[in-house]
Amino acid sequence: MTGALLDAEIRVDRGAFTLDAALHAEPGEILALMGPSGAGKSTLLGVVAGFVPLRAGAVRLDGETVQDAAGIDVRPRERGVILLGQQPRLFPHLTARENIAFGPRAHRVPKTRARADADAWLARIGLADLGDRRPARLSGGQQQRVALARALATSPRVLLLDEPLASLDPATADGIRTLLRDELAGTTVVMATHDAADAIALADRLLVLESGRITADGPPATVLSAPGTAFTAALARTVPGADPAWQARAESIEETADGIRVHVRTADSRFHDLRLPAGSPVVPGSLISIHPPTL
Amino acid sequence: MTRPVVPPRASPGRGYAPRVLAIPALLGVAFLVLPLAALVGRVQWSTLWQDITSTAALSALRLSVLTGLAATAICLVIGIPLALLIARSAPRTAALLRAVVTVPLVLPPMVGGLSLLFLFGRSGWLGWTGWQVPFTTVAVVLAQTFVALPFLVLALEGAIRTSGLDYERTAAGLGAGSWTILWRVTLPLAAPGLLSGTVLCFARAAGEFGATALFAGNAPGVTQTMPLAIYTAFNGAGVSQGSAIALSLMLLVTSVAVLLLVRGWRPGRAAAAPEELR
Repeated sequence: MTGALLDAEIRVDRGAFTLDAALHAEPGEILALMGPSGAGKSTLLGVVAGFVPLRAGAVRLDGETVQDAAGIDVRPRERGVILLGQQPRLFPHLTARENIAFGPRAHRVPKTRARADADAWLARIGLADLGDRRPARLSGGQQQRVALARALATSPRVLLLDEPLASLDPATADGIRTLLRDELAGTTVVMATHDAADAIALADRLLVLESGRITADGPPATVLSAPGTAFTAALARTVPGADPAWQARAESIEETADGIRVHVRTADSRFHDLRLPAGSPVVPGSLISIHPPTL
Repeated sequence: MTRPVVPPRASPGRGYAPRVLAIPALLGVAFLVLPLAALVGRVQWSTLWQDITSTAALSALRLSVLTGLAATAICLVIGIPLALLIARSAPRTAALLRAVVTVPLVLPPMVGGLSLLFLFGRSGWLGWTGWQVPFTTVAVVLAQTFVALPFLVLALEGAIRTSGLDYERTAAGLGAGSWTILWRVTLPLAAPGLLSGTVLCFARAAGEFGATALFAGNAPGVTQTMPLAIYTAFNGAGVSQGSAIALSLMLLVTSVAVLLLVRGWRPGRAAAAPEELR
């Protein structure tokens, strides 16, 4: 399994919204992409996957242009880029095994070998006994595991993950996070996520995308420890803190004219209101590290 | 005086429709079932076997099944691509194409037959080809295809549009070419629509009367299908009313059998629900 060198300059206009970003990943590098809702994360991934046309720029894999604004558009079949989103999108009429074997079969791998490989994948993702089940008889977490195996079974040149854990409960998401850490090695990955913990646990580099522009780029720990924008600062506070004395739980959230007001309760049962920028990744129940200046 | 508000009662899973609506609903069921019961009531059981196995009845049945199957096959060959085209067109084009496809559905079949005659007839647009179509078995198949095609196209198109583009995109990303996507993703996902469309299409073709009568005529063994045979028998020309009833019973039994067959075979859904999801 070897990932490609990904190099993209991307400019997309959608009404008033402009996405203008450069993306570079070494072969086998894992990038995390974070940003408020509407920042353009999904559009960015859609361009690399070939589903969104470019207005300017180009997407290059190993130096070969697979898409540009002038009309080069390598079909998904030859491009080798797989997008895996929140929905696993397993083919409902095929079993788990047939789903995993689908990609290799489409690339003309003989049936028996594709099925044997699919069985090996089922064992790796811990679902060895469930190969004959259709997706409707798998849980959400199991479906997402099969979808991941189905993507990796085709040895993609680039794997794009768009919030793959967002619709799962925390325990299930943890299981998949472990699986991602084990199985992504060697694959070039761009992963959009809302969870700073994902970036720290999985990514080599963290890109922050705000209003269509990249505002931070570097090793996750570095970006989060030296926040350059309000969003990144808010992000940094959601990382499970090194300073437990200052951790607080978000009780309720209100929208205000210039952002959100989070009502938090500290470990010693004191209440505080925090003002955070709009789009901060906080939900009721989130643990937030708060620092004295915020109070 | 205010009456106490009685909260609407509903048995779990039955919803909140007013219960009194059951009366018109049951009337509807009766209206659909009673005429058929009356038909069965008039069957002369003593001569039934004789009526069914008469030469005229058997040849009408054979002709109906053969032409119905041929028309269904043609509808599949041109209807599947047409359904795909409509489902993947821009909304305005799709609406226009859908309207065109719906015309035979709302058109009196007689008008359809007349139109076909003016296209294929000796003095029609295609008359110069010297191709003698009207009043042949081919004409029967064409008339049936004309009236039955909308049933297949509309059912399949709805199913394709509902299943959307996401699975096709996923398949393309995994490396499947367009034919692989069609055979292994699009059509299997639309299978329920394809199946019910095909059944409706065959049923409509086999029951076709008006367009066939005008465009193909009523020649026993060549263009006299079951509905034409029933009409002829009922009018007393040649055979008795008894055989008209017997033939009708046969058509009725055939359609119920087809329906039951389809109910029993649901591709993809077979093993889905049983223990896990209950």
